[in-house]
Amino acid sequence: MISDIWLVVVKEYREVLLRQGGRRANIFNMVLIFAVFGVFMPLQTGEWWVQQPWTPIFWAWLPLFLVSALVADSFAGERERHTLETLLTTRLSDKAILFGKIAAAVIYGYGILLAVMVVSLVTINIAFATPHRLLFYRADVTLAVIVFGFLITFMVTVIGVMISLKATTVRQAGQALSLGILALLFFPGLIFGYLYRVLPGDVQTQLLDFIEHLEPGVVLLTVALVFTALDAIFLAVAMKRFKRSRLIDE
Amino acid sequence: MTEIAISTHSLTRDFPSVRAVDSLDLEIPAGVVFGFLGPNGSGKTTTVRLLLGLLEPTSGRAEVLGHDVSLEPQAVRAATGALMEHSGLYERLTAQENLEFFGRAAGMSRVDVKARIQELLDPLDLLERRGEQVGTWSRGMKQKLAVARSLMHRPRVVFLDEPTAGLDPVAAAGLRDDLARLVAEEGVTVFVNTHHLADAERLCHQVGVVRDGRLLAVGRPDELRTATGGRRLEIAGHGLGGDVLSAVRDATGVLEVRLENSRLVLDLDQDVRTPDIVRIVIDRGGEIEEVRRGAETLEEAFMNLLEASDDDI
Repeated sequence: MISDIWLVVVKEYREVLLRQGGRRANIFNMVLIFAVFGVFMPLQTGEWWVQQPWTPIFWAWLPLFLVSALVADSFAGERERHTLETLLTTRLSDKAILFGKIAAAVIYGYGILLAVMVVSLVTINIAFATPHRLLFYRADVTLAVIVFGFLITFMVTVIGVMISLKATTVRQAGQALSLGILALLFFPGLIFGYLYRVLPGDVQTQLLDFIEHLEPGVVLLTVALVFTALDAIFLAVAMKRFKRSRLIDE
Repeated sequence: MTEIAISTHSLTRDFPSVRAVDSLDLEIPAGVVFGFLGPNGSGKTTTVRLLLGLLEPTSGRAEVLGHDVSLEPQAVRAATGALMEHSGLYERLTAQENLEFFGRAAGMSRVDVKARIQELLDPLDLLERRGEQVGTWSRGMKQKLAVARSLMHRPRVVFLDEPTAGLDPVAAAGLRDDLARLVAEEGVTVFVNTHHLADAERLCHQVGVVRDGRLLAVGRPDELRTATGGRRLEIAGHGLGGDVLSAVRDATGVLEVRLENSRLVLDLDQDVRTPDIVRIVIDRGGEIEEVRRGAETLEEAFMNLLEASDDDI
């Protein structure tokens, strides 16, 4: 099973990442990501890049944009290029194909996130560290990025793969996924803001007081558990929806 | 006892607006090349999808190599190869990468995959070009590679869905030759969908004719020709005009007779015996070189079957 999943992962990389749009274009894109997030932004921000809590947490959203092209292509691309049916005639199990597609995108997006974190740390130290004082990320922030980076990457990937399962073209899948990411980014804040405004003044005050006194560790743990539960639910739905007979054009 | 590779029992598949496969009963012995003939939209592709476990039957059942396609679809797919309507090749990958992927997906070892690629591509004249991206190849070359891919893991049954569709006549003939050679060498059972009668005539030991999901006839190509063209008799030779033509025309049970390029072509009542007609020709001084009873070609037999099914509707 693991070797079958890995086989699909390697095929995805060879087909989609290394060849789509040409090898040079993909290398250029990769260099651009590392240049902007690993070098330019840390140099612009200075030591604050590793000291303040929000910049690395912001990174947790970086994989969303990295994986979107890959997951949009996962099944819609195979359908568009008429390779899906042949893939489905192989001995590979439904799980091996589905998990292989998901793993390819998660490893790619999450891997780049971690690599950019390391590169930006090197940049900061080269530019701003002194012989007696090396600069590091805060431990709690590092942990948050590692955990939430993975959970968010996984969730977007599974949602994207589900969209791609139904989409007839890569473009259609990409558009639907973009809307989904926008909703994921803005809806929670908008809904919270709306609910906050409709609350009576004294309840607003109590709510703010409650939030101010929340233990950060407890909040992060709770959010992580919520994301984990959502990831599990989305994966279960994707597994249920992945049926060979549904994927064949009637 | 003959081993049965593929069997279907009242196999039926409905789609919302159409019954694509209608109570299909087939028994295909192992080692046979079976041609599934029918016009476009007659249910050939749906049948292959059902046999590969890619679609669920609405009713009935099917077995491939003893595996029920609904209950053990993965076992069916492990033991079979398939070339579907499209070549299904990853065009951004090289030929070698394509075969490596499908070989490994079938559970082959790396060493076995490497040896098998050489074994399959060398006789197809593709070995030297295995490092090229498939997207740069001609359609004929892609189809050859797709055939090689379907045989990669030495399956016991291979499904081919219109393997020569879209190829020019030269490429189609080349692919047919390669296919015939590979099939003979590999000793596999082949289920080939086609509406190209030349493919069926050249490749198939048995054929089934299907229309609107219903099986109209099944048998060897020569059996089909005889069965469907049983009222037709052709006699080739010399001195078949004049007296011979008149005598044959007057014989009992001869509905129509005409002379075409030194051939007597007769339409007969079903119970007229060929030797009786031959005797009349010889008695009147005709010289016979060849006698053929039945449809001239499989294509003619096929058309006769379709016309007969039109009459039934």
